[in-house]
Amino acid sequence: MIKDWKKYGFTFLITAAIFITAIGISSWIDNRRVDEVRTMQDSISLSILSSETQFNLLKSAACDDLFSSELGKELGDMSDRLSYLESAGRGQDPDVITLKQYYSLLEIKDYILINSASQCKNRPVIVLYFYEAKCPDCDKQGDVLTYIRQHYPGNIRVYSFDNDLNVSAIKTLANIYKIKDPLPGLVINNKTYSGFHTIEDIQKIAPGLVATSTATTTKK
Amino acid sequence: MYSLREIITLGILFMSLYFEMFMLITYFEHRKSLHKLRTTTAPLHPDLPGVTIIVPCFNEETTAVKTIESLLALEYPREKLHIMAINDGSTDGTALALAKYNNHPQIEIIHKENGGKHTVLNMGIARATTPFVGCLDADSYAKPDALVRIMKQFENPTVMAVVPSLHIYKPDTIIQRMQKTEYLIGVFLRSILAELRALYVTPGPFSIFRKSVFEQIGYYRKAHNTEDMEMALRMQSHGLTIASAHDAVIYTSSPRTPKKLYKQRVRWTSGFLHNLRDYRGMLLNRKYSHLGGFVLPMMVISAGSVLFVVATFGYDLVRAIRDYVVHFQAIGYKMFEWSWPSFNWFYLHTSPLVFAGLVAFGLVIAFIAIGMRLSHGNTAKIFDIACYVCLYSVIAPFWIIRSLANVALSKQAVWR
Repeated sequence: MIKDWKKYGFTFLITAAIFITAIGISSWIDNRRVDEVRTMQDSISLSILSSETQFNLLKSAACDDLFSSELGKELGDMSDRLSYLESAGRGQDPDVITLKQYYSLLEIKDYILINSASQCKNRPVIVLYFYEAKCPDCDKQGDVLTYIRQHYPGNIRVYSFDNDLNVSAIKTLANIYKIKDPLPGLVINNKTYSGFHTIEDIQKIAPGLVATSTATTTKK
Repeated sequence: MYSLREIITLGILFMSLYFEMFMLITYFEHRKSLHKLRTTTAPLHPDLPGVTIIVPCFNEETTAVKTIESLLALEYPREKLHIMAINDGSTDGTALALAKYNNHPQIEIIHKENGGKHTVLNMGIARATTPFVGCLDADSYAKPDALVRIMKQFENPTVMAVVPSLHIYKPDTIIQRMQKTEYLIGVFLRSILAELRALYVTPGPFSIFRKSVFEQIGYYRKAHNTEDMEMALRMQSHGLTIASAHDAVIYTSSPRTPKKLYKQRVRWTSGFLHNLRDYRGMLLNRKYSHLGGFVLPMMVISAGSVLFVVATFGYDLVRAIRDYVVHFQAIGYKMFEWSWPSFNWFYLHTSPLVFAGLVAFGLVIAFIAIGMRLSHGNTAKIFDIACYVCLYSVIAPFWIIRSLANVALSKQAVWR
């Protein structure tokens, strides 16, 4: 009987060890994820700072750098990763919230920079997108913008802002463009549109997208 | 950090991993003796005891003869082996098929009114004059050395019943191949449960009993159409030892289609749960150490866990469909445009469930491998294992949930 109890205890130890290892590996990978987003954030922040400095020095010439599709892509990738972390149940994780706040500020900085370069030609279509968790159409609008962002990467820059985040700069931005409930709210080339907009709607508002879209498809 | 749902799921996984680990550790404890049994070829002993094998036949005109032929081919002294084919009021040509054995010295043929399997067994036991009695369903076939290997276990005077190693007869369909693998796991589990004195079923095909068992604890009961489980539980509740001869190979016919399998398993699982309710006194009772304190409660918990897992899976499925619909509403037919899937470790699912689940899965594969080693070269092909891995966890919840509902509503599952 004592031998049996020992066996039950021993089995428990082994099983617990397996579980602790599993939990350990899993949280190690989770931390690696946050680290990766942090690295991306540093790189984006460096790119923005570099463009900003160049812009301040020359006041105009750096148009190409400013609109580099590389930066737009990086911002998009970081946004994808952040929403993955949220959907994987880490939305309440303080690390993830801080990353999101930081990301929003980077977006605003990049937006201000691009917006101020009004003399440049070939400016991308600029979309500000305001959403919140409890908003039925926001999932749909997010899908539409992701699709557009992935299909016309050089011609559009989408900045998305989570209204639930406690960042006063987001609130100020929303006030400037008179974003009202219900969300989603869109600002396309400095004009405010509220409610859900399809891919076709956005192409109508920003005809620049249509032209390049046919250009890219014919290239293929 | 973790949601309630994740914690419950982890708890369920912990318990199943614990059970698997316990089985594996017990295997390593008894590994030598378990494998010794496999390699020993039992010589025919001159004073082997007499055995009566009852063959219950109910509408089995096509298979009954083959079953009897397999018994006649057993390596066992002829005068010691008595075959009793009992026709339980078949409405097909069974009576005609059995007629060819009318004057066979080893075979006794009895026709009775239909009364169900337990009445057949009881009639056979009552008429048997040998010290050992067993049964072979008329859709199962014994390997020639099966009986002598089983009888070797009775050299231990405390052993009161012996269960064989069950295998699927000529697996053909995917459903049967899945069962082939499942039965190999069964061989492994039964040999371990026997070591733990925790067997809770003496399967209908070729479990052999000392006749004194029935004189001591009574004959078969209807037992919710799973008389073989009730008998094992009754034996355990009286402290009678059931051993396993995993070297004694029996082939049994199996359901070919998912629907037939579902019916069979609803009968087994409902019967098991009903009988367990009748024997609930054994649960968590220290007198029945491993069986009452561990194995049976584990079975109840795992049946209940299926409800939780299925419910959460259903919830996930509904959400996934909703997301898909939203995605379609958003971008329309463009979502079906082909794009190369890109791989990025960042998006891999890496919750602790995945890693612990992989270990649990690895143990199942180990059980299959050990089951193959224990059972005389009955190997499963990779395809058989793939059928089991892909299908079993998808279809088993159907009969488990149905059986839980049956027990909750006190409904009996029918034979066929």
